[in-house]
Formats: sequence, C-alpha cells, structure tokens
Amino acid sequence: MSSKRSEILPPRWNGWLSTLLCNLPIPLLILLMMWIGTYADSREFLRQHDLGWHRNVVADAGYAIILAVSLQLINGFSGQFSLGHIGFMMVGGFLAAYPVKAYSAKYTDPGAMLMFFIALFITTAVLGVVLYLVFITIRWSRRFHASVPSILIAGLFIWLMVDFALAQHHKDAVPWYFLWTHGVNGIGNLFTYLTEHGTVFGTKLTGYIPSSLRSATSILVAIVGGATCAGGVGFIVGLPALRLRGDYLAIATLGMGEIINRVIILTPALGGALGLTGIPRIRDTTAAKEAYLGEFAWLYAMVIITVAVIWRLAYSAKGRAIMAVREDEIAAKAVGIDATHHKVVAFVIGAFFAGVAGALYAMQKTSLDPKSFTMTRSIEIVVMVTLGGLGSISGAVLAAVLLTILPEQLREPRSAWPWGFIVVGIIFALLLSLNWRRHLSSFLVCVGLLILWQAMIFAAEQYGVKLPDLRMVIYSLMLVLMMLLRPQGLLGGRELWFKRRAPRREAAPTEEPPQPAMV
Amino acid sequence: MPEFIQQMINGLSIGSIYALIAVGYTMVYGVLQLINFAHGDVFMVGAMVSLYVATGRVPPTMPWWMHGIILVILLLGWTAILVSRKSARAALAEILPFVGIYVVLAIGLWLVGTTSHKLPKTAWITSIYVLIVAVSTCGALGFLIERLAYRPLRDKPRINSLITAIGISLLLEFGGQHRSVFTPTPQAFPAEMVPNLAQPLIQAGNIVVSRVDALILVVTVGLMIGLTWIVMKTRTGLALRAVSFRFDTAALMGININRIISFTFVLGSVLAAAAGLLYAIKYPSVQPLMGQQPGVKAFVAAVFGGIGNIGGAVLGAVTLGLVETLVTGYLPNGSQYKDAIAFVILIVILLVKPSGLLGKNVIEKV
Repeated sequence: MSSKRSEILPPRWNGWLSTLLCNLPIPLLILLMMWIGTYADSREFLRQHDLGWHRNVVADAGYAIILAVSLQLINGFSGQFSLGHIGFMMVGGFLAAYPVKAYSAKYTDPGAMLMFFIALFITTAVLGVVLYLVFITIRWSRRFHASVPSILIAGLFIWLMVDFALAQHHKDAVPWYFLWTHGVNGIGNLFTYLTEHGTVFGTKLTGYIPSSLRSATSILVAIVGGATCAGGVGFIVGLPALRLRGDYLAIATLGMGEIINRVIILTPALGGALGLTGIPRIRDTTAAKEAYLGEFAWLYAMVIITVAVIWRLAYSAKGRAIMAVREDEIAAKAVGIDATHHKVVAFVIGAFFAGVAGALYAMQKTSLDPKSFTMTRSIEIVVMVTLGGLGSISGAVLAAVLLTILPEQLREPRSAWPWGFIVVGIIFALLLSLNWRRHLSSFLVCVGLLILWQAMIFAAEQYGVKLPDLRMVIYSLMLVLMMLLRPQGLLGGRELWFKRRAPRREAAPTEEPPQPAMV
Repeated sequence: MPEFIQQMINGLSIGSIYALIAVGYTMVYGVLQLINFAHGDVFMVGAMVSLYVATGRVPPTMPWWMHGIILVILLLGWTAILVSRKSARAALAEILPFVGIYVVLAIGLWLVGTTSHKLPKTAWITSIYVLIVAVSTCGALGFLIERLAYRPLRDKPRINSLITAIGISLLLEFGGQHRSVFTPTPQAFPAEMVPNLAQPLIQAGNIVVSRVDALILVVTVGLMIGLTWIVMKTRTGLALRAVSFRFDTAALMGININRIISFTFVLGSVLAAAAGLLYAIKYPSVQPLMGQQPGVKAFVAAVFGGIGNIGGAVLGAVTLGLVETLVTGYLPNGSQYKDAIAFVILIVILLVKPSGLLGKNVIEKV
C-alpha cells in the first residue's frame, strides 16, 4: 500500500525526516517573525525609535499581503473574478471586534469569547437548517409542476411581508399563528439565551487557562472566530454566486460586498453608521507577568501562515484541481473534478484569510469605520493581484508591498540616490549572476524607473510643483502604464522562488515497460 | 395618490439621467465585453466642463509648457510607432487623429475662452452652447481613453483592460481633485442659465411638474430618438450592430472595427456629457467625485436591463430610478436603503436571470 506521496516524489524525498525538513522553514519563519515583531513592539524599542509613520506602513503592508494572497487564491488560481473581497475583511473585523469589546475587555476572558462564537455558530446553524429545509421543499415541489416553485416563493414572500407588517399591531402578545415573527424572535431569543449562559460558562472556562496565556488565547480566539465568520459568509455568498461566470460574477461579488457593508451599517449592535470604536488594542494587553506578543508578531505570523497555507494548497493535488477548473471547467468536469466544490473551497479559504486580516486590522486600529470599507478598497486588492501577475503568490506579495509603500513614498518623495540604486544593484547583481539573459530586461526597466523617479523629483523641485498633491494622479498613471507595458503582471504567473520540480521518470516505478523514445 | 404620482415623476427624471449613462456602459459592453469603469467619470467631466463654460472661467490658451509636453508626447508616439517596424506613412496615419484632436482642442479652447464670458447669464443660447462644448469635450475624451488605454490591450485578457479602466477612472477623479484642475470642493452650478427654471411647468393640485424634470425628460427622449436613428438607420449603426453581434465576422465583412469601437466610445461619452449637464442642473452642486454613485447605479441599470442591449439599459435605468424614489419615499428610514437597493436588485437579477430583463440567454458550447 503505497501512499500518494511516494508515487509523486522521488524516493529520497519520501519519509518523515524529509517531510519535516521540507516544512521546517514555515514554523521557523513564524517564530522568527514573532520574535522580531515582539521586539519591534517592545517598550524599549518604541522609546528609542520614533517610527510611528513607518510602523503604520509596515502594518498596512502586512494587511495588504494577507488580502492580496487570499484574493490570489480566488482570482488567480480558481479564476473566479471577485470584486468584493473587502466585504469579507469587514465581516472578520466587525465580528472579531464585537466580542472583544463586549466580553473580553483588555483580552482577559477568552472563554467567554469562545462561547460567544459558539453561540453564534449554533444559531446560524439552526437558521441554516430551517432555510435549507424550506429550500429543499420548494425544490421538491417541482415534481408536481414546473411552475409550483416560483408560486411557492412568491407566496412565501407575501406571507413573510404580511406576517411582519401585521405583527407590529399586536403590541403585547403576538398570536401564535404569526409563524415567521415567532420564528425570527425565537432565533433572536436562542442567540441571547446561548450567549448569556454560554459566556458565564466561558468565564469559568477561562479559570482553567493559566493567566499568563489569557491574552494570547483571547487574541487567537478573536482572529480565528472572526475569520471563521468571514469564511461562513463566503460560503453563503459563494454557493449561489459561483454559478455565474466572468464579468457577471465580478458584478455580483461587487454587489455582495456593498450589501455586506450596508447590513453592517444597519446593525445597531455593530455600531451602525459610526462603526465600532474603542476596541482594545493588542499592545494594551501588556502586563508585567503575561507572556507578551506584539502587534507585529501577530500580524506577520499570520502573514506567514496565510502565505504558507495558500502556497501549500495551490501547489497540491487540490490546487491542481482548482487550476484545472480555471483552465477549462467543462474539461475538468469531464475528468471527474467537482467544479463547484473546488470553486467554493477556494472562495471560502480566500474569505477566511480576508477575515484574518480584518480581525488583526480591528485589533490594531482600535476603530472600524464602515464607510472606509468601500468598493475602492476591493478594487485596490484586485489591482495588487493583477499587478503581481495572476496565479503567482510571490507576485501578489511583491505587488502588495509595492502598492502600499508607493503611495506613502509619494507623500514625501525622497531621492532614490544612493540607497534605491544600491538596493536595486545588489538585488540584480544576484539575479543577473544567476541568469543574466532572463533578468536583463527587468534590470533595465528598474534602472529606468529609478531615473524617472529622480527626474520627477528634480522637475518638481525646479518648478515648485508639490508632488504630494499629485500623489494619486501619479499612482493611477503608473497603474495604467504598468498594465500597458507589462499586461501579464510583474511576475506573469511564475513564482519568484523555487517550486517543486516535476519528478524524474525513473523515480516512479511503473508497471508498464518504458515507452520507446520519440525520435 | 398625488404624492405617488409626484414620486413617479421624480423617479422618471432621475431614471432618465441614469438611462443616458447606462446606454454608454451597455454599448461598450456590447461591442468589447468590457466594463468601462471610467464612464462615470466622463459623466463627471461633462458636468465640470459645463460649470466652467457656464461661469465663463475657461482660459483662452493652455500654458506654453503644456503645449510643449503634448508636442513631445506626439513626437515620441510617432517615433515609437516608427520603431515598431511600420512605414512613416502608417505611423503618420496612426498619430494623425491625435494631432487633429490637439489642434481642434487648442482652437476650440481659444474660441470658448474668448466667447464664453460674453454670453448672457440666462438664455437658451447659453445652455445650448454649454451643452455643445461639454459634449464635444467628452467625445474627445472618450476617443482618447479608448485609443490610449483600451486599444493596446484588446487582445490581452479582459481583466487587464478592467484594471486600466480603473486606472483611468482614478486618474480622472484624482486629477480632477487637484487644485489647478477642478479643486476638490463642491461648487455651485449656475442652473439659472436655463430660463424660468424655478417656475413649475404644470401645477395640478398637489402635483407639480417642475421645468427641470420636464427638461430632463425632453432632452433624454430627444437624445434617445437620435441614438435609435443612428443605430438603426445609418450605415455606421449597422456596422455597430454587426460588431456587437460577432466581432471577428464583422471584421471579415470589411467593417473597420477600430473605427466602430472609437465611434461607440464617442457616442457613449457624448450621452454621458449630456447626462452630466442635466444632473448638474437638477442637483446644482458639482465636484470631482460626483460620478461615482450615478456611474455605479447606471451600470447596475445596464445589467438589470440586459447588458449589451440599448433598450434594456433604458428600461433598467428607468425602473431603477422609480424603485429608488419609491423606496426613499415609502419605506420607513428609506433613504438609508436608497443606495443599497440598486445592489439588491443587481444580486436578485443576477441570480434569477443573469442575462437581464431583455438580454438573450447565451448557450455555452464546448
């Protein structure tokens, strides 16, 4: 009984040691990032260096990387063009921030938060089962006549409206036959009951957690819970929307993003139009005795987890199935790939990591304004993915960093001489020594861009033009020029670093005799 | 009931403005299968140009360095085309439309700059003058956008054109916000240039048909008749329909695809400019970000009616305008839902009938 792995990989890579060695860089990188991040957030470091502005840029780059890489899975690998990614970030952010604010002030009570999320999931599951039963019934009714389902839907809708409208007139006791009103109230009561009793139990649960680990657990619960909510919303949105193709899907996801925004604005518990403010900050959890991890530690650990998970997914058997659906859905179905399943999996995982970014964002910025999560932000993420090259994770990372730093640099344009030239020189000295034919053109383009940058700064100084005013103009011009000059994106679907090679032929023992070579 | 009729009139007038924009979206989509995100900003440019012409603030000449930059760009473009292994003659033919636009714009700028401040404040001649200037500026803008940002990417994946569309949209929005262009602050639009605008046209009991709404309806209907005539009765219109029916077959039939696509963009931008002027007369406060909301809504309307179908776009836009006004008027807290209703309609129509109200169902072949 040979495992799949042994069929794919040459024997020398098979075995627990090599598996460990292959995967070791990921936890090591996470530990390294946690260490650097914790130091960067420590009091001593903050006292010595006043780097507020730079810190924000670095943090924004982190969120941008998570968002771009998770959207790369949806847009690049599964080929589903989504324009509503910011909606999932918003869900993650708001649903992580709410329990933190309500149950775990200063990140002291992870148990209560956990129970809040469990209550939310149970309620959603009950609601989902009821709606699913209604849906099944409607679909089943098609057996009688093709027109019955639509008549049922219309009837149900009218019944709903009449039920809600008339129930308002019964102030004291709504009669039993208002089934929908009772149903909605029941769901609400169930949620209230579960949270009230659950959080009390959760606080007891917190007692079993060593006090030094409480804040870390709390943050972890908030991130995972918020992200799971985002993934769930991704599932609910994705299942019907992924029936659409191409532009229509783009438009539908755009609309979904806006609707999520509106729903959050119209929910009083999530702060309404003003949004949530006064969310405790990760940095504020620092107590002398507690094991402390800084904001940057959390953020960049999550960045690495996101990249690692999506990398491993995209270049696995499942990832190949996802890419097969992208290339040709009908052909993929013909070889037995469940197209809907793979599309939804990619969509939900993408939404999940957008939720991770949202939760971290909420816990660093301390306030969430629904008006700032607009369509423009989703488009920015799509731009990052496209600029990096569709189907290239390292490209998405690169473009995310570039497009975060560039507009900020344009606020206070500084001369690229000599440091910009030195950095580009070192990078390309390395790349050109590896393969000068391949990298020469990009080297020339980079040098040209640096010279252009210098010329721009020089001209602005000479003629007294304020470049910060023209910041977004230059940004949009660069966007258009990039697309015109390099339409396949920065990396054009390749990865910057190594990819596992295809196995050599002699490595996989086959039963058939080897084919005669073609001459 | 009077209130209901009043709401319907309001909805009809806002719906017809959406219709003018939506037609541009739908025609471009029909021909190129491209969502022209910059269209809402062409609408904005129409309104802003109208403002500057109507208040007589147009400078008669560009600064000398701007001429210099344009000439250098033209020369560079010509050299670039020459280098890409074409004959000097072909390169000249490629660059000539741009030279033409530059010359026409320079002369037009001088004409407008020297005459616009001499026009009477309130007269039909002023309004028509403003309309003509706005329409021709936006026509040139639409031509340039297509030529520079979309044509080079026509045989590349469609997402690239989408990104350049977004880039152009950002360029117009943020460029317009610069203080030497339109400034970011909202400015009052001189709606009084249309005579007797404040007086109602018809007043029957509680129902008032204002002159603004009547003007919007008349202009929209007139432009729609003109558009229908162009699309249905002229040879160019025939070619346009052929191109939107099947792109490559039309090329094989001897239709100059590039010309038709440019024409589509010019037509759409002209209608958007007219919509911008009408919108500015109805809501007399203009600013460089004013194109976002109407642009998105008109786009939803185009999808709602069946994207690629001109009649569908008008139907969808009018329906959207009506639904929006009715929701605002009759639901409790309706104004909160006003912007969301467009998207709810969008999702419902996409899930129930993705091809839109009047769109054809496309059968997928292997």
